[in-house]
Amino acid sequence: MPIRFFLQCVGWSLPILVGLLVYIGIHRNTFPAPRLTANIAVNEQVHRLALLPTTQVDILAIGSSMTLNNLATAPLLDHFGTTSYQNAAAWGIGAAELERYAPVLIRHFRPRQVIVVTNMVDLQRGSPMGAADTASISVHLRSKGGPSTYLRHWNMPYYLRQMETNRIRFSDPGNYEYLGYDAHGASTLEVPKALIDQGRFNEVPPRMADLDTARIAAFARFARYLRQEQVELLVFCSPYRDGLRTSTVEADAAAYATLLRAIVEPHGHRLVNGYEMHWPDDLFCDASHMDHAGADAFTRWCLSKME
Amino acid sequence: MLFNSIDFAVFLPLVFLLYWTVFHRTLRMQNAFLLVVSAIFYGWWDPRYLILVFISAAIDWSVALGLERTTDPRPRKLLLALSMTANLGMLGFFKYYDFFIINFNEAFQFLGMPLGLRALNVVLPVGISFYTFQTMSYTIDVYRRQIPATRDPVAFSAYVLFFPQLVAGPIERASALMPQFEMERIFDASKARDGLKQILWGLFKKVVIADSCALYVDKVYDMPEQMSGATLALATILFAFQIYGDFSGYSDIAIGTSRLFGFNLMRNFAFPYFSRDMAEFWRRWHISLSTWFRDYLYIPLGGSRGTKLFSVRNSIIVFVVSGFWHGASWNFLIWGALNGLYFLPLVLTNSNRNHLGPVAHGRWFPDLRELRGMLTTFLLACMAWVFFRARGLDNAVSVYRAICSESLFQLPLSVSGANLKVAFLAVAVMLTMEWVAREQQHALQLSPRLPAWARWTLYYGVVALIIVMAPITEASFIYFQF
Repeated sequence: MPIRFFLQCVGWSLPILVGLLVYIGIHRNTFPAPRLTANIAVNEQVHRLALLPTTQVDILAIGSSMTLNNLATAPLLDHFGTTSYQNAAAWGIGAAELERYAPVLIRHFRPRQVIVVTNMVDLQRGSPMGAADTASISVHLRSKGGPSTYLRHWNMPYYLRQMETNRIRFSDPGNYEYLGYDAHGASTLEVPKALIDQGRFNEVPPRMADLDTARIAAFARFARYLRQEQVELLVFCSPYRDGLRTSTVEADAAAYATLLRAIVEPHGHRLVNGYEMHWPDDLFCDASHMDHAGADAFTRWCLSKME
Repeated sequence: MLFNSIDFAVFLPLVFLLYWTVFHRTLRMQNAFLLVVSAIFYGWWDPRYLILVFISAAIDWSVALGLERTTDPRPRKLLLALSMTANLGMLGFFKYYDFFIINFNEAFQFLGMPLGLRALNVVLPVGISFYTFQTMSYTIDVYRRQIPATRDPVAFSAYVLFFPQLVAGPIERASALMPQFEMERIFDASKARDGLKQILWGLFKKVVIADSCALYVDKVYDMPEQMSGATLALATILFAFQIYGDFSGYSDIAIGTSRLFGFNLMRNFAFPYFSRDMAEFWRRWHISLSTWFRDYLYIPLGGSRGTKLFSVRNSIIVFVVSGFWHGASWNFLIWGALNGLYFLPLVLTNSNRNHLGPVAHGRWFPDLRELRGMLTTFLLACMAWVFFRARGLDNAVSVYRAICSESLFQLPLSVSGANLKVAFLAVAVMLTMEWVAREQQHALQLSPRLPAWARWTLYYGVVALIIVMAPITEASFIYFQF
């Protein structure tokens, strides 16, 4: 009798399971990455990296949306003459998160060089990442993106919701949350001019006084860590659009570059300051995120300055 | 282990199968198995605190045996005092020690005699307020000779640790639950089916209603000073549904789960937001606690015997103690006292037992008087919930100040991450379902006159709503903190 009841329960849940499986099957291309952390972009990026056939890359780009959106892949491959390059950036990876996130990736990919594209926001805020998050990332990378991670991080409402959002997020570069990665992990934006969010476009850059000293210290530890690991760090300071560059912004940008230079150069790392050049407004999708053409021009310019 | 977790989704079917197929042969096996799985369920959170539950169970089991062996009133009183001291001492230490130390320090500091006593920041063991009350009820009932003492320590421990209701009730009376542990359970498919429906409804209330409302409420109550009166009023109304969904949802899952194992637990909520006055509200809200206080505090204090003033005093004491039971803070005390004040006019005018039957009995809709009564009761409850939800007295005062200001007439703010449309829709679904089923035990006890396809559509609809509308985080139950 209880067994019969149990089997009845299984029977009653079958339509739900079948319905879910059919729904997931139809939209399988937008099924999200395992929920390793609270940061959707980190989850997607880590899952993509875990599925790569290789565990060694020469050049690794890490950082926030500045690195994800403003660092174009083609100029980099041209410049370095290698395809052994991956962009592991995700939104919300500010300086404090970088300190936690980078070691996991560096242990996994053993790169020779790390590129970070940054602006002042990275030293101001981020999406907190804890030890549990980095442990989950590490396990998932080692498992080569195995499906067991989904069981460990099971959250049906999350996966169903993200499936819906990913239909736009994975396919529309006009969406600010675009995560349609190229073969190397970059995700450059292409927001039609008419659809540019004016609030974002006119957002005033932070002031030097807004920077978080704990985040500055975290960035310094990150630079020191890379030196210990004998990995060279290339820092590209990403500019705000020309229309926002008042004398105050210029002064703060210079102070910011000086601060970062003082942190990275003693360790033998290099820095290119994007504010040394003017970047017209039409290369931007908002105050600081560039469109594809902007990212291409910015990356080429930074690489040329390294020579 | 949380009822709304994957762990429990694996635990429950496994325990169900083992219970009815392997450990069903004798009563002793059934009880021993329930005891072991209950210990696992509780220990999942922190196994160290199992010791406290077993100590509480051991004391009351031994005291009850002692009470039965002697007829001399003096040692019987001493034994009862021993049980009360042990249980209330444990509760007092873990729950109230820091509160009293902090308040003594502040009071003596004010008088210019600093004490410098140190708070211990003790972690409150989950469910301590519930299981201590349950074990005390057993000892008191044995003392009053209302039930015999059990000689079986396994059955008694299983009664205390019974996992569906161990951490957040319903607080079962020994006279109702203990006999069920002394009688072999036989599988009843219709009972199990109804249990399953009640679990489903409880899950809906928890993960859809409570957790959706919590997204808005938590953010607004985190910084009430910065919120408008309208935003705080909306958050308070949503909190009323959050706490109802959370706690009654837990109770439904607990009762439903127990039915799967052949047990009947007492009803804990009877659609309280359809109450027409505060007396009816308290007969329908957290029934197991209200009746506990009625049986073990109000009646021993004299109840309604004697003068009106005497009766009022007893009611106020019960409400204040009940508030304090919820937590060691002035907010809970004031919440209890405020509810006592609401109750006062009803006692004084002898109208506290006006509404004993269900609202709009035999009709589809309430009449205007009933509607007015329900709305007034709901608003009064919401006003009291401010103290329950706010983090301190200052916080509560800020909320009231904002609600009483002209900012009450602004548009409420939307809060990032909280989807108000989802919350409103979920609340509307719940209220409609519960209104239709207001004369039943729970909302999914659908009328057999309803065609099968309609019933199944509703069941699957609720499952779909749980899957689609549940917030992404796996939130704990509010009453775990008590």
